[in-house]
Amino acid sequence: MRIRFKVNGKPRSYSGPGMKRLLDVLREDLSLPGTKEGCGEGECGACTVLLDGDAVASCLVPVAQVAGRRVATVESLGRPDRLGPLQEAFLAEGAAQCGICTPGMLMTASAYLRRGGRADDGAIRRELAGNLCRCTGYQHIVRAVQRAARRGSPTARRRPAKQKARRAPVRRAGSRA
Amino acid sequence: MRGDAEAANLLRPRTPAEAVRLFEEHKDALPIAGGTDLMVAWNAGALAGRTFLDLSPLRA
Repeated sequence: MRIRFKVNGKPRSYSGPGMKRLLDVLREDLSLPGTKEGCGEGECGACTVLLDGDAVASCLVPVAQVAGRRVATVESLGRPDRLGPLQEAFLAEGAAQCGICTPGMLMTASAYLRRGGRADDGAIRRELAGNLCRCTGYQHIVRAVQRAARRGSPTARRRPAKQKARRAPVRRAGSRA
Repeated sequence: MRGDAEAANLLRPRTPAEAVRLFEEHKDALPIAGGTDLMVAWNAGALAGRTFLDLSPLRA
C-alpha cells in the first residue's frame, strides 16, 4: 500500500503494509525517532503525536489511516540548536528526568497551547491525564506548561537576538493572569 | 509480539456501498474505525492473519 501524508509540514510518502503502526513508520521509515514507544497499548501517551492537530497515540494508529492527513511529531517543535518555547520551558523547569514520556508530554501540551490553553493548573493536569511519567515528575511538567502558556504559542520560534536582548529581565506585572 | 503487518489484509472501501460489498465478500473481516481497542489486540498479536475492514475513510 502506498500512502501520502504530511509530516511536520512536509509531504511524505510511505510504501508498505497499511497495518503498520504510525509509530513504527515515523521511527523506522521516516527516520523520526523523537516519538517514543512506552507501553504500546495506548495507556501511557509516550507515543503521542498530533493528527490534524489532535493528540493521538501513534501506537494505536494503523498508518493507512493517516493518508492525506497532517502529522506533527516532537521534531516539529524545535531543533537541538534552536528549541521552541515549550521545549525551553521544559528545560527551565527541569521537567524531564528519564525522558521517555517527554515527547508525548510536549505534543499533548502543544495541542493544548495551540487551542489557547491557559496557565491553569487544573486544566493542564486534566489535559495531561493521558500522559504517564513513571519518574513521577508531574509537578515540574505542569509548571513547564504553565510557563509556556504565559509566554505564548508553542510554535513561535525564539525571538531574534536583537529583540531577545531587549526582553525585560524582570517578570511583567500581571503575567500570571 | 504484535501481528505481522506484512501478512495482514487491509480493506479500505471508499463508499458505504463498497464497504457492504467487501463485508459480504469477507465475512470474517474485522471492522475498524478509530481502532482504540482493536489496535491493542492487534499489538498484542491476538489478531494475526486477520482481515481488516477500515471504515475510517467513510468519515464525512
